Amino acid sequence: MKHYHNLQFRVHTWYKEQLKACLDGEVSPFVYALLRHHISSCEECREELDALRRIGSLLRVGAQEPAPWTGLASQILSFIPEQPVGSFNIANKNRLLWRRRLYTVVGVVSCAVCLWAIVQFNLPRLRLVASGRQHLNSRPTGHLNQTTPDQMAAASQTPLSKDPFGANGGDSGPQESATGRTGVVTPFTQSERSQQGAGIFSTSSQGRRPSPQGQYWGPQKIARFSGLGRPSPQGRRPPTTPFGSGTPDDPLRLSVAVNSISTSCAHLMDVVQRYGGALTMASKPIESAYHLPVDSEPAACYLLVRVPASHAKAFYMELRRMAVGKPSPSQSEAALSEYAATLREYQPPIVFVKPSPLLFDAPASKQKSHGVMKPSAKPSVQLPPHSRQPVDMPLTNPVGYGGTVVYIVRLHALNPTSNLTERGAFLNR
Amino acid sequence: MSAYPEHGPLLPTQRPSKDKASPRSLKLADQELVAKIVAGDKQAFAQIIDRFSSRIYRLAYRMCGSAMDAEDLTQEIFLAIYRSLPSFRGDAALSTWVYRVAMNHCVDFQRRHRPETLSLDEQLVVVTNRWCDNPQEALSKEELGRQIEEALARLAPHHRDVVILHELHGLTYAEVAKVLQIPVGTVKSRLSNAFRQLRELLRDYVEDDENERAE
Repeated sequence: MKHYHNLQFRVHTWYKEQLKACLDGEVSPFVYALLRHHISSCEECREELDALRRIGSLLRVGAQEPAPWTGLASQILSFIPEQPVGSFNIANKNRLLWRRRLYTVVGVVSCAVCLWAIVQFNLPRLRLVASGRQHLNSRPTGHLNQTTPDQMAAASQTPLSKDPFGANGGDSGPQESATGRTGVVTPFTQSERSQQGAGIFSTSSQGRRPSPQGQYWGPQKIARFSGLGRPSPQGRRPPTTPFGSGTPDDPLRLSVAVNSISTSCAHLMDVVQRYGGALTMASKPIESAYHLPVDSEPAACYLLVRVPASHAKAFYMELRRMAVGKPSPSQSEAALSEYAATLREYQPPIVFVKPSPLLFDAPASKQKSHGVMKPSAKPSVQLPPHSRQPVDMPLTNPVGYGGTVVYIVRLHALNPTSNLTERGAFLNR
Repeated sequence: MSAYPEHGPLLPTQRPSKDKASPRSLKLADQELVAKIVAGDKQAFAQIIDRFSSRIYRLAYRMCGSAMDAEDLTQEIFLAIYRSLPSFRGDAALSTWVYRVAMNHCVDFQRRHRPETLSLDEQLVVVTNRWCDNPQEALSKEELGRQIEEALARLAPHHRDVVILHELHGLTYAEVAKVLQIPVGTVKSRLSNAFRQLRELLRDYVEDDENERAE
């Protein structure tokens, strides 16, 4: 019964909605007949129909719509242009066509200008990348991954045509140590170097890889520039970095500012020995092979270091802990914030390492059975968790795991009182 | 025995019908007229102005609420009609097409301008135009007109458009649907809802009439 009443109510509502259309003659004859039958028995619908009629008549009678001004027609006609509407349309089309052509030309020209500007802006980097690839392609593949002492000796006997530190004329080392602010530095000019003064930078050879002067080598830029964002599988040519590729003929070059050269050398010797590597002081053959400016730079000490690739990161951390350079007060906040921003974006492998057993990217090689110890590297900065580190090729180990990374480490005293005496004393000891 | 033995007294036996489409001859005449205008016959366009200027002006006045704006809007509408006549394909009646152009312009005008109240001068002109009528009738008619204007103003815009086009301009449901580009069913439901609201808004007039009829 309830459903019957519900259905009856719905039918009544539908009839009610059709009343207006019925009055206007907009319903079919069948619906009209149904409505007539329904109205004969429904008082409410009769009232509704009456009200609708009344409202319609009220609207037609009472709505005030003023008659237009009598001269409106002639006024409108006077506004109509004399030319035929067809020609007007053609003229309009032609105008649109010309406008479209103009927009096309302007768009093409602006695109060309933008492209030219982008190319001009990136031209030094493109040249840099091209020269780096050319250098890699021309390099013999015998020294790439695995290095033996014989190969090392042979490599050290062969004089290199490159200048690893760009120290021709002695413009790199002594001035840098004189500023006394940088730990590991980029090839900046003297003034910019003194302005930057950050704790960690890396060295590049100016002659071989001309980098834009005075630019900060952030992790993103390093990765983009050197292709470190892509992993390098075993057996393939190691990627080059702006600071060397870690092979004997192209060692990684680092410059570290320390408090005491002798103490740092002894510590590095101990560390390298524990890691199963080898450390050699720069002797004459080495100096000539790598064009080290030893004589022109008495305040610095050059070391040739070979470290198993599995320990390369730990070795770099030791260097980082030894580095005592601090940012200059003027540039400290800006440099640190910029560096922190880039770290958050890219998270470079070295400075992200936390003191944990996961310090090594790969387990130590089992072939190195002569007392290889895990390093106890503790980074001196607060860093993001290890799990957020990228799994790409680290900067300090471009040769990949299983090989040997070769470094040339330049130690220089931060505030030397008598560099010659200290180095000489160390050498005489 | 008939299926519907008792027919209601309030609905006529013969179903009222409206012309749902323009006659074919009228369509052909419209197309010929348009062809003449496109060819450059300005007098042919004068015929269109004569046919539609009053309706378009009243529509413009209803949509913008000001005589000055209505005149300007009417001129704009006819200029637009003249320019876009080559795009008239003849699918619909010329009146429907003209109303569609006019409605588009009116909607644009409403977007561009805020609704303005009548200025004092215009109100004065409206009142003084009726001085020769019977003052009481004129006053009651004036009051009725004001009430209807208020009621129409309180309707939703989509309801008001349908009421104006159908009730005041006499367009059929199909023509209103073409002008507003909505289905016919939507026109029907909008009109029904609008009248339900108008019944509430004009309750005094509707009930007075019912009472008079009952007496």
